[in-house]
Amino acid sequence: MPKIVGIDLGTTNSLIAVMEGGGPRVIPGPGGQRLLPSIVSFAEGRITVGREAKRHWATHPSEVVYSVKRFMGRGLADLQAELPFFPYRLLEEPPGVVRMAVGGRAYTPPEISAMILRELKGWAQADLGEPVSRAVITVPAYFNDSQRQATKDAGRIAGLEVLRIVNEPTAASLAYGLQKGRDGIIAVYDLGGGTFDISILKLKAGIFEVLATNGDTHLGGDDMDQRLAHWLAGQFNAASSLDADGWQQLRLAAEAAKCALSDKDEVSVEVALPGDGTPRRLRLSRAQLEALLLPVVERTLEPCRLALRDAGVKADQVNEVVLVGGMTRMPLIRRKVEELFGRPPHVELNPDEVVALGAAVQADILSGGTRDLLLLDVNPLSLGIETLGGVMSVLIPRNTTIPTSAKEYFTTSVDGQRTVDMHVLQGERELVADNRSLARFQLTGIDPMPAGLPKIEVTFMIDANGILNVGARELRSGKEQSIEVKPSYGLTEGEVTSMVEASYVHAKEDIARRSLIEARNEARMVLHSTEKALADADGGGWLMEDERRVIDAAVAELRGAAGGDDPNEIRARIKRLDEATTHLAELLLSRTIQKVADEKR
Amino acid sequence: MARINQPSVTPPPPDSDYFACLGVPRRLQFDPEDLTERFHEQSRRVHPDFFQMKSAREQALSLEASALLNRAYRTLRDPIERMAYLIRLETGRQEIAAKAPDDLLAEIFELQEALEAYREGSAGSEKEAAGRQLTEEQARLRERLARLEEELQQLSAQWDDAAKNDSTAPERGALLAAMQERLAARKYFMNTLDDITLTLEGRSDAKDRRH
Repeated sequence: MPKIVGIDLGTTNSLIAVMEGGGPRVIPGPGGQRLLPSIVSFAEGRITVGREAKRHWATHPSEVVYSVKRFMGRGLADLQAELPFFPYRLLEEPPGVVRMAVGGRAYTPPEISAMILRELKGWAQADLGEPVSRAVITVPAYFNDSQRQATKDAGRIAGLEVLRIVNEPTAASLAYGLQKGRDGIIAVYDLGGGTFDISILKLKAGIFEVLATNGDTHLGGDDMDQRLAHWLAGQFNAASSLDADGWQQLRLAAEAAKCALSDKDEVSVEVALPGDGTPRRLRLSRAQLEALLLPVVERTLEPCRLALRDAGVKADQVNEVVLVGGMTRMPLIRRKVEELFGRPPHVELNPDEVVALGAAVQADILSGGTRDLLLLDVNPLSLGIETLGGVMSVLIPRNTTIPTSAKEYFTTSVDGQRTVDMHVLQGERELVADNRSLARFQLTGIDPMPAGLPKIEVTFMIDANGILNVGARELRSGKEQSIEVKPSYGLTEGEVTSMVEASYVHAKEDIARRSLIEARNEARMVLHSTEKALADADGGGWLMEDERRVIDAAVAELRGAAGGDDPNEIRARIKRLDEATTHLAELLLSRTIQKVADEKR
Repeated sequence: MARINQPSVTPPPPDSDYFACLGVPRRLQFDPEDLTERFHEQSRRVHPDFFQMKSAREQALSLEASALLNRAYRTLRDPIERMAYLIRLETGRQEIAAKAPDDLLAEIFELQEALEAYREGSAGSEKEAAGRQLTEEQARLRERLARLEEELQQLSAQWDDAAKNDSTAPERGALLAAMQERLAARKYFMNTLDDITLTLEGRSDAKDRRH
């Protein structure tokens, strides 16, 4: 059976893993790298992903997309505060869908994420030597319905059937449990590049039951980098004169300094700001950094307390604390977590890899590989509908074990009414306006009846992915009711389908582009070796003038073709040059043999 | 590799009651650990994770069964929810609405006035007096609530005895009615206490379920 892979689609880095011989394994990329930077570059007219894209980051900031995860399932209004930091232009089209204007097009976040997924899929296919078409993808536990849906869409666009969306901290607990497996209460503290999650789980005889989860989908290492970049700008007296490029340089310097200070007590920060002759320098100590970032770290503590309360667990009842996410290497975070839970956290698992490994374990469970382990996860946010007076009425409270469902009954208020509208929300606040709008549903095709007579039963089902599915039935007739869905954020079914189709077209373009590059490379090599051979031949006076003219003409033709865009033309010219130089090659070969024979004598 | 000859799962019909779903009798007092164990055991039988490679029909059934099981466990593990569910199941009555006990009506009237005075009043002796009154009322209500919880526990034990001893329908009916009345009162006390707390904190119109 084809393998199902586990993918950690991260804000900063992404990984792909697979279960093999009873254990999960991270699949490396072509250079042996295990982390794929979640960066996509459109610089120099081509799309690159990962390390190469990262190299363009400093040189072509407005053509490089990073941290795309922060945009998944969000609208522009959600992102106002950080817009100035993104060097590319953002637009919203249609309402509720952010697009990035890069590479001459406006891409949605799922399309960009799909490029990252496609790269990982390529790694896996090269490593496993078989096609990969099914995956488990992880998301922050605190992702709402739109963000989960956007992740699933990205998978589809990348040509992956997403069998399951798994929460990152839960996946991490699975990998942890497999290695250390002791029954008890586990807290998973997951601070990544852009998101924070805390999950409290009960592990008992192979069942991982999530008791409560909390977090902030807009809190992570990025926020620390931004804060530090701001501070650096102030220190350099440059805040007012910086453009997007300048901010980019500062962010990169901030990120590097932050990471280095996890091991060192002091670092030197050096930034070459655009328009400056000499680079700016300053010394930064770990104590300074910690004082600066403490407010960000403290923002993670309140969600921890709320999760403990919802789980009905006291901090000292937690048996193990597991750290996930690159940010948890920071000594300040380790200290704060230890303070809160009163015990040192586990640090022996690689915080970058544990989520992907857990995703591979979950993929194995889904493929029927093991029945010993089972995850019972929860929905992170309460789900409800709008009722009279703009109040949200909760149907499924947060931290309910999923899958779960709730029923609600609707009727008509006017004689002969054919449709009924519903507004579905997610969040913990009383008023509709303070919660997140998920979608507007319209029940259509209701048989005309006097007001109040139809009784429509609507079932809200949250599946094991944490994604909402809605079904409706008119109870008198027993007839299934059709529902029209208008998602408030994210893409409609039709839009995703057309993106899936477009990705095939792009895949063809990609193949054509690769073929051209390969043909040009080959042409360059052939031209180079021909030039060398001709130089030798000229020195020895081996070639007839006629022959020399034919070769020169073939060289000129190939040079011309290599400057064009047609790989077939280039290949044809390479062949012509090959033919023209057959005699020359034979001559060279016999000369070489002669030379070797002479030397031996 | 997928194991073959996996025992085929027949999920409980979607309309089966929560007690049957978890395989426990319609009792009100039981060991929470035992309930959790049953929940885990049933989860291993019906969870969608184990049906991913099966037919669409089996997947849909497992989703339904799993959702029912999760609802059942959530309801039965909480003593109050469990009791409300039992009443609904036995009597066919729907939601139990908050209702003040009859002997409290005079007190309630005063309490409402104090709440009003505190909300409307500007800082001063009048507001302070209303605040004091509310704090006293809060303590009184908490006491009554504690007494109610005790009574509910006794009723739970009585119900379980009655169920074990095959008691008559009228006897059971009386117990259910007594439970229902106290649940309604309990709901009323909880709401009122919330109201007082929010008013004293000056957040009467900024309710937030998170806190």
